[in-house]
Amino acid sequence: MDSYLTLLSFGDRGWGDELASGALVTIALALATLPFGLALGLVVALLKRSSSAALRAVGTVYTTVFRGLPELLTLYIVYFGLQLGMQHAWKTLGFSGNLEMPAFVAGMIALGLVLAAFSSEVWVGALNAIPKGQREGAYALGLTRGLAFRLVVMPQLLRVALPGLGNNWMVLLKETSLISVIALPDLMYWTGRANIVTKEPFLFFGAACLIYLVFSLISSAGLQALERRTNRGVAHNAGAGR
Amino acid sequence: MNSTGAAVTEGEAAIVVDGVTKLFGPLAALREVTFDIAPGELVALLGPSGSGKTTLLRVLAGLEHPDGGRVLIDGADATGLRVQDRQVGFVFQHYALFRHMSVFENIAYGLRARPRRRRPAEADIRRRVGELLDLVQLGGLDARYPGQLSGGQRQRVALARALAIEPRVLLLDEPFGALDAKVRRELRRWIREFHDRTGHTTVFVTHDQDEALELADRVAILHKGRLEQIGVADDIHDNPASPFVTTFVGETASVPVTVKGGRARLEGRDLRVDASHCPDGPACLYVRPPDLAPCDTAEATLIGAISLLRRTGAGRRAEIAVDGAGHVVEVDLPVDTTLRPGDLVGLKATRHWLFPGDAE
Repeated sequence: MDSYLTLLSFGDRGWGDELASGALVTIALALATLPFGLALGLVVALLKRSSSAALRAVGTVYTTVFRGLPELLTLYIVYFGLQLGMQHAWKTLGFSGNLEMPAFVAGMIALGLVLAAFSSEVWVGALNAIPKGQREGAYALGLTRGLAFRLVVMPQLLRVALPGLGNNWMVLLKETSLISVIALPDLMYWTGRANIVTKEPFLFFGAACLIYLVFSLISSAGLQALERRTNRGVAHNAGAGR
Repeated sequence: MNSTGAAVTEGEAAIVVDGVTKLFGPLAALREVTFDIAPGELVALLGPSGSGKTTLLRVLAGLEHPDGGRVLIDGADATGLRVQDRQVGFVFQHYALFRHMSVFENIAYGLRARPRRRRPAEADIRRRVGELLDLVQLGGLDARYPGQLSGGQRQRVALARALAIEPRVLLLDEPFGALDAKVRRELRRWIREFHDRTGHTTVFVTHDQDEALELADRVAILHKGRLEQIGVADDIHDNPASPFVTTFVGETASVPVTVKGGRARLEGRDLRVDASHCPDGPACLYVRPPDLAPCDTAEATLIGAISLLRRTGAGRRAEIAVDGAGHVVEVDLPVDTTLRPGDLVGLKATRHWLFPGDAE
């Protein structure tokens, strides 16, 4: 038991500080990916609800591709493919030297693209749930389209979409574990390293499990609080704002 | 007042609708609608489902743009203006209250969302909202959310919100449509009193003729995108301008007849009806039960056999087949009538309408 505690301790003899820094990278990556993925997802949702058939097709193709590809494959395509593309563009523009994409940025883009594909479906459902009268009511009060969307539609959109987006966040949190394959020192990266060095898979993977569970529990509590806040005044009925 | 409804000159009208046409694909929702509304007038747009009344209201608001014609508000051409720039108050059929905002925030919203240079001070906004809440008799409910209000209360919040922006014109889409009968009646009275108190130029849509005739200064009747008639309630009821208006307003029976040389004929018999205004050919005679009374067949407008006699409250109602094709008119009889099914009876019409063409 003492040896286990020593292995998990902070300092030279333990892996605690590495696991903690890995956990921070995991959270940082998830938090950085979330706004990018959700914003892109909302754009894709708006494309899918566009009156233009061409824009609808773009939105549909996007979600079909990024929901269909395995996340790991998307990660490799972004990390290696984008890197090659960037280097090619760099040289074409006449610059010398190598241009490298940081693993963190690659992870953020790859996971963001996948999150956008899945969250776009949630956004579409939420947009469909908000009656046209809400927007028109705002226009009739003198609000521009942008203001009406930001101040009237968006708060209601978040309320309707929050449960689905909450699920997307939980999935994203777990998908960050894939990033270790491109050598980003996240929680899974350090867990793997610790296991190789100490030959204690059960201990370190168990510790990683606990850390992910703690993240999930905190997230669940946060999401519940958010849902309570966004549901102010609407628990009593459904028909007030058609 | 004619059937196209020029009540005031263009310069003094609050709203002028001039030849407005609105197409949805190949379908014409509005066809060259022309009428005007005087300042402070309360006008009802009445018609069956699909007649174009809501489309017309949305065109007035700027939520739809016409494919032809123009709309003037306070003498200025508003046809190309967006709803945001028209300064109209619009109350939606289902109120469209912002569900995530309290009553106070809903009413204040149109003022708070104005550009900074046109936005009143917060104290002025609070005062204005307080006044409006008192005006619509909802003082003390400012902290509630729409979901915590009854249908009638929501309706009044929607009205207060529309009035907060000090609109030039107030537009209401089926304002009582989502309410039960008792609340409808109460709110109807309240809206009329409210209008008389505030004097806003108001247009409301309804498919309920009682509502329109009771509430409005004038009623505009739409059918298949056309304005059939506009006028005061009595005028529309007593002098319908078309077969549709005749059958739509009041309980009306139609009898197909033939006109020849200024005389109306039914199955070879001349009717005691003035048909001098009708061209030769098929026509339709319209009568209403309150305007019919049994009489001697020699003086009768119509003659027929009683096909059905039924009890109606304090009296009896007879269905009388007036021709071989089974066209029936109804007449109210006293409870102690000696007439029986099968009896031949003459009917004198104190009032009737004759329009050329086949029945509507």
